[in-house]
Amino acid sequence: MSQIVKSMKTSLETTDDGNEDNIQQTQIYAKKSFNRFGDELFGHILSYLTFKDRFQYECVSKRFQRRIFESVVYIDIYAFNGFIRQNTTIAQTLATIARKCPNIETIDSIQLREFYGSVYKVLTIFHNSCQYLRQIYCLLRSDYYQLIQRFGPMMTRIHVYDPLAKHSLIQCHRLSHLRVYHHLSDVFDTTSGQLLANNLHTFSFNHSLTASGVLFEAFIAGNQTLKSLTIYPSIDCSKNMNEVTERLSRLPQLRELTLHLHLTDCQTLNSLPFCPQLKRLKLDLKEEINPQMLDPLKHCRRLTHLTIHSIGPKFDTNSLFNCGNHWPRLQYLSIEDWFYERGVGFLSHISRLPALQTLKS
Amino acid sequence: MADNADHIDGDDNEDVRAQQNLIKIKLKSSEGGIYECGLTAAKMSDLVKNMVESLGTDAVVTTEPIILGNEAVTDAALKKIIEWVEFHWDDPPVDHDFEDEKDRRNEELSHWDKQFIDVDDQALLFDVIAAANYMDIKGLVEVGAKHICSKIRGKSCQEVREMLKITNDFTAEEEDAIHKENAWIYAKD
Repeated sequence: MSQIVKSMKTSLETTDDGNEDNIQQTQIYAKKSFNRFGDELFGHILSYLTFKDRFQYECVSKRFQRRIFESVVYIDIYAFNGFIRQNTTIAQTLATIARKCPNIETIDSIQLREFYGSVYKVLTIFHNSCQYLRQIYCLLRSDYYQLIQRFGPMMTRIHVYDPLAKHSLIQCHRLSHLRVYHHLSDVFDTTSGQLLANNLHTFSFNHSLTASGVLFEAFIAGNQTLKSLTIYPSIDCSKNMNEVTERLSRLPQLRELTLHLHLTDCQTLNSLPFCPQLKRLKLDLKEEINPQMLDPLKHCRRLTHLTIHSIGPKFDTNSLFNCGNHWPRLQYLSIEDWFYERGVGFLSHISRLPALQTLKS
Repeated sequence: MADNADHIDGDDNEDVRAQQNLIKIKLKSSEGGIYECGLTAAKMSDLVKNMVESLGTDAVVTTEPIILGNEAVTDAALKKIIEWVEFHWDDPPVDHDFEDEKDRRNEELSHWDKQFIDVDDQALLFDVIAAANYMDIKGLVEVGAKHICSKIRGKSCQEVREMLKITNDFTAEEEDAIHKENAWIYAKD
């Protein structure tokens, strides 16, 4: 080894006179050099660097500089949060970033909450440089009139924090993911009652007292495409979600369901046998899990992922009795509660799951 | 046992995959070494999969080994690659209902993969990555790429050059200019 290093030094010091030793040493050197990879693989490996790291390592070499940004297709503009906070003149820097990353297809602005002016400015700058830009994720506010006018047709994921902003939804024709921070009524026009978002892929809302069943019925009619649904409880509502969940069987594409349930709301789970197509289920329960409660789940035979979060006092191990027969495809099981001790019974039930790969408990 | 709601989708049948992996095929490195590998495991390589499909499984099992002519497929690299596919062949198949591949990109490597890819000999490490790329084993290329990027993280540019055996072809002025352009990354959130 020391000999190789020694002769390598010599070969670097002397000019290449084409003798065989030199060529051999260059090859040994080349096998350990990152430069041995072709452009495509070279760029692909660097695509696993974070967005900021790419800028840090741009100046490693000219070849790094050429390849390190080409795989940037998504950016979260929260990456600029600190910079925007501390600087009033950001346009030039952002224009430079946009120029370096011409292949951006998706801009995520959901986390950048505070600076409306900045969101608009950032989007405009990137829109000018990135010809492939076609998806924008955005947190919608009622004063985003100009933003919606210009970028509405590109918005594919939206969070509606401010119910007054909901009327802009109708201008976002390509919307696929929607989160409303309040009630289901946030996706309906207040005066006409018209459904403001159709053909969604992913949706989440807070369950409330007011006519959830009727509104959900209308929502389902316009969103037969729905694949993923999350329901949070409202603070002011302890009513069970039964009137919503009993309608879930009419969503033929539904594969993923997340439910945050109130105390004494075990009735809600009784609807699950009517959703045999579910693959991923997350339950956030505010009470003790007992075998009876989880009984309806045994009909969800296609489950691949199951997460149960409980702040109840104890997880009854017998809830998982015979689980291997009920969930032949379960790969991922996560159980979080306040009761840490898992007995032999727990493990012996779990060990009967034939496809299990990941257990978090 | 027959349950209508539980029919098997397409090629995902676990039992068939397990049985097929009992069938051994031979792979030949560019250095001439011949190694056995389970059929299901070997088919994690799209290159091998296509060859098996065009030649027919019977031909592959009974006749000559499959020749992997790329110079990165050394004996040592091929042995590592077979070790990887023999460990991973029964990974759950990609579920097209979800963005599994996108999610996996951001996931940390498993403990097993970390130990597997932490190879001291950099020439061998790069051979494994280049060979996996040639054989079109996306999962293994990803493991290699994540490993290299985790090694880069936290190092200075000069340390990265030393590690990756790259020479700096920027002038000091050019390097300064790039640093100035990229100063925004150091702003605190």
